[in-house]
Amino acid sequence: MTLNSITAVVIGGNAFSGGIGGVAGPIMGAVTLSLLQNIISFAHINTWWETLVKATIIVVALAAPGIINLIRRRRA
Amino acid sequence: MRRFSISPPVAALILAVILFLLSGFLPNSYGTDVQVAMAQATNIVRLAVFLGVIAAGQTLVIISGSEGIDLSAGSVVTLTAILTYIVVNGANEKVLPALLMVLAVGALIGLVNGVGITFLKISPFVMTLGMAGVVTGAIIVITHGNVTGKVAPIMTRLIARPVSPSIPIPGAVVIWLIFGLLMWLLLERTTFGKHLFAIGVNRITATLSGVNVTLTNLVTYSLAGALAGFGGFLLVGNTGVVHLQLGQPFLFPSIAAVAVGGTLLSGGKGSYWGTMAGAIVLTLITSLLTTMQMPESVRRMVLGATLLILISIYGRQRSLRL
Repeated sequence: MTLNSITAVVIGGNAFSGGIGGVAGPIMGAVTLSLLQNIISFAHINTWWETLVKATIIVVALAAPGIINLIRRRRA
Repeated sequence: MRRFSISPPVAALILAVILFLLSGFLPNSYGTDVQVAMAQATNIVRLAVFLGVIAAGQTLVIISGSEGIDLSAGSVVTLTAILTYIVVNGANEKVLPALLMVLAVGALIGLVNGVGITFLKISPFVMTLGMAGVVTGAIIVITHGNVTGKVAPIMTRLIARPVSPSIPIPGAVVIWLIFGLLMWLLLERTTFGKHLFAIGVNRITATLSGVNVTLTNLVTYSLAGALAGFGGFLLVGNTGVVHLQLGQPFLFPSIAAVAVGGTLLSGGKGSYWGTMAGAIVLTLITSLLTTMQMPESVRRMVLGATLLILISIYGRQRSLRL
């Protein structure tokens, strides 16, 4: 899935604007994603909710750096 | 050093006409029968309507620049088509509330996209792709994989059937023309349109010129979502049935239609007329290849190649920014 491969890169810390990043990050990102899938399978989440939960977690993960940035800027 | 120049929408339309005329030579095509040829042309334009409307939101987002793209359009189309199907459930009087609800849902999804992109600085590509996943998940939660509902007769009457027995133009085409006029007004004759092009060319100069970049961006993404929602509404009115992959096949062509219509993918330049022409060209090519009984794989290759060739031709024009 396209989303998964891209998410792995972004979770791994490579900035989407380019210029920052490495190979180890995406690998860890891929491991994290697979763990997520594993947890969802074992958490007895209803099958219908699986895609939604997974995608929401991914979007929140993608949004996290931005949210942290916003909070930091508020404090500064 | 520009010897002659021809605007991309016109070029795309000419290409469409030439292709259509050439298609008469195909063994199982219309041949010399003008009546059949007209019918086939109408049919192709009717099919292009849905791609065109879905690509409208894409046009706005792409004009807004800074990597703007809406990858959630396909899922939004599916979601709104399913919602329309469930809410309307065969009742004529529920069509208007359904339309309003569908527009609101689309706009809401677009707004979430916009918030993520403008405030949280997530790349549009990643944000909308993520939203596409969320919306797909929501579809599964809502439908549990099987949809029960019905399209109202009035929708089929307005969208799929000809305007009147004497005029063989489908209602969808008329809706599209009005829609195109509104899109032109929005892009060329409103403050929002001017601001949209301004932020597409250069956000810093736009900010310095007093354009509210954040607000314009939010409105753009919300509008894009709402337009994709409208596309879903029209689509279900035409097909009369829904399935869980209804909108997904429109995602890539909707971006391609924008590009074929001469809208710069880097933003700041473009028109909805171009997108309309692009939608017609893409629908025409797909339908021709189907007539030639080409397999899906060949169709995709030809579509991709067409896109590459057209973009590389347009790319030779003077760019807006260096």
